[in-house]
Amino acid sequence: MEATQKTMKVTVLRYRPEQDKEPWEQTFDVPYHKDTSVLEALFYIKDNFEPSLSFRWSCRMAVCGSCGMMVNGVPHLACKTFLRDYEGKDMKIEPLANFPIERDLVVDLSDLIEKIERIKPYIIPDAKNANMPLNKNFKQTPMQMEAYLQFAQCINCGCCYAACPQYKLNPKFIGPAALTLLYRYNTDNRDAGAKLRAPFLNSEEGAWSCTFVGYCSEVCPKHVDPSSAIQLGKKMSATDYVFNMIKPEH
Amino acid sequence: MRQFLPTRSDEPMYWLMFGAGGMVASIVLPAIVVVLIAAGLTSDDLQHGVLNLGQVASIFSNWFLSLVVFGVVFLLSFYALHRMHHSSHDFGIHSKLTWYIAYGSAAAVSFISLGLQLLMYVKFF
Amino acid sequence: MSEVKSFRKPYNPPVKKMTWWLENSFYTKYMIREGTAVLALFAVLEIVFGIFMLALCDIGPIPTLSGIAPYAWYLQNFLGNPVIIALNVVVLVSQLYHAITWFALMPSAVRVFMNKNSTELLPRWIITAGLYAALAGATVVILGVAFLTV
Repeated sequence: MEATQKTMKVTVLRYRPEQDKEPWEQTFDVPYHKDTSVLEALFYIKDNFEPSLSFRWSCRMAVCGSCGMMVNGVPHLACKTFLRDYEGKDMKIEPLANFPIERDLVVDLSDLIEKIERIKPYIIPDAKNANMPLNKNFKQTPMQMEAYLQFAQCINCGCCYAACPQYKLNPKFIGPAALTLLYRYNTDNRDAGAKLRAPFLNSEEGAWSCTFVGYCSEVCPKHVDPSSAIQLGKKMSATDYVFNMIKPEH
Repeated sequence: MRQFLPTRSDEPMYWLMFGAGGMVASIVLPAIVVVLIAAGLTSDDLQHGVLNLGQVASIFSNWFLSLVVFGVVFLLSFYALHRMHHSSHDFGIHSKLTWYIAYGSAAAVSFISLGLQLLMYVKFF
Repeated sequence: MSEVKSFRKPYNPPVKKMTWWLENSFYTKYMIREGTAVLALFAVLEIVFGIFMLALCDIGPIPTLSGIAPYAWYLQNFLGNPVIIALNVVVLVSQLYHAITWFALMPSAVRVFMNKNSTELLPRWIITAGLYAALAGATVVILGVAFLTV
């Protein structure tokens, strides 16, 4: 005796810039089984109902960061979110919040990319190591690596920016992923560039726009804990402030 | 290429006071509020109720305890008003005026408390 | 340079500047957490009000009933007022909520390793438990002094 196929009512926010003034909703009945992800549901919709539906995806295994989108109002990776967890409910899929919508579920992430690039996300060696030969390398103890490793797991998916109300209210805020990456490089013992990154950390748009809502850490699919990195960044910034008061650099 | 660098924010000073005040609020304020409630409930007994005159006189005649009370008032008022100032932004109010109202009030409350405590110390003891 | 016309027209959804926090229970709990500061301010003002009423008193070598009238009023008609007592109970609950959320978040700001060569972090629960112990200790001391020296 065949079990009846389960289906879920999936509503997707559509937007075609060349035709539409505003986004609009389209609903589909999507069959699913215990392993169907939101990404697979979108494949099904595109293959069987709506070929023009646009969405980003790549690795299908939560390492590339391409498929960030809102599922029932919460930022998720589509490949890592399963329909079985929404059994008995309707599902609403919307593009990632707090970013301009380009088309359907595709958003303009250029602000996120620019901010990540702004904070100098690369090892800036000190003068002693600046011209280290290419056949030599840094040695790092397990503890030295542990100091920053968690914060290096970011896949730049943008879910934390979709979660952050301070970014929603003030798009100038550098944001969780960029501040976490800043902290990651400051705490890497191979790096000596904290002074160069300091203006970004210490500014109003840096760590000080954060009010520790903590939702970014809640939604992060890689458990990077950006809100922790920002609070530790605030401590770094406050220490720098006090030292600068006692012994000004200029 | 000269890059436009953002200016340093003065936020750390207020954040550190907020942090200290928040810690004080979480550790001692619940007990203090219980004492205030008890004082209200036992207020009919002016001699032996909680926070009776004899008790509070012995607090404010002691320079150390009086200083502790001032410290608590100072840190708590900066903590509460800092949080309220940032909450005003969360409610959509984006005016520099809230900064002045918040820290001005915190400073005023602290000064008033300090002034009153010094006055008491001189007047009574 | 390509002569193809661009059809890009990015759409910015409207931002609910005053009510965004009602959309999501996580945001609402955050606003409540921040809201406890208002009640903390009320508690501070209550204390300073009491100090003010005490300063108005006339405590000579022999305290008279009329001399201590302002502070007696504070105790009986302000702190003793059922409305204020009820409000103080709300203040108490709110400050406990503040303490609970503060202690839960503090480990995020304290990231230390167990010892110089360990890759293990000090567990979050130890930091939170230590803060609860401090709350318990301070409460015992304050209530002990308040109730035993009446």
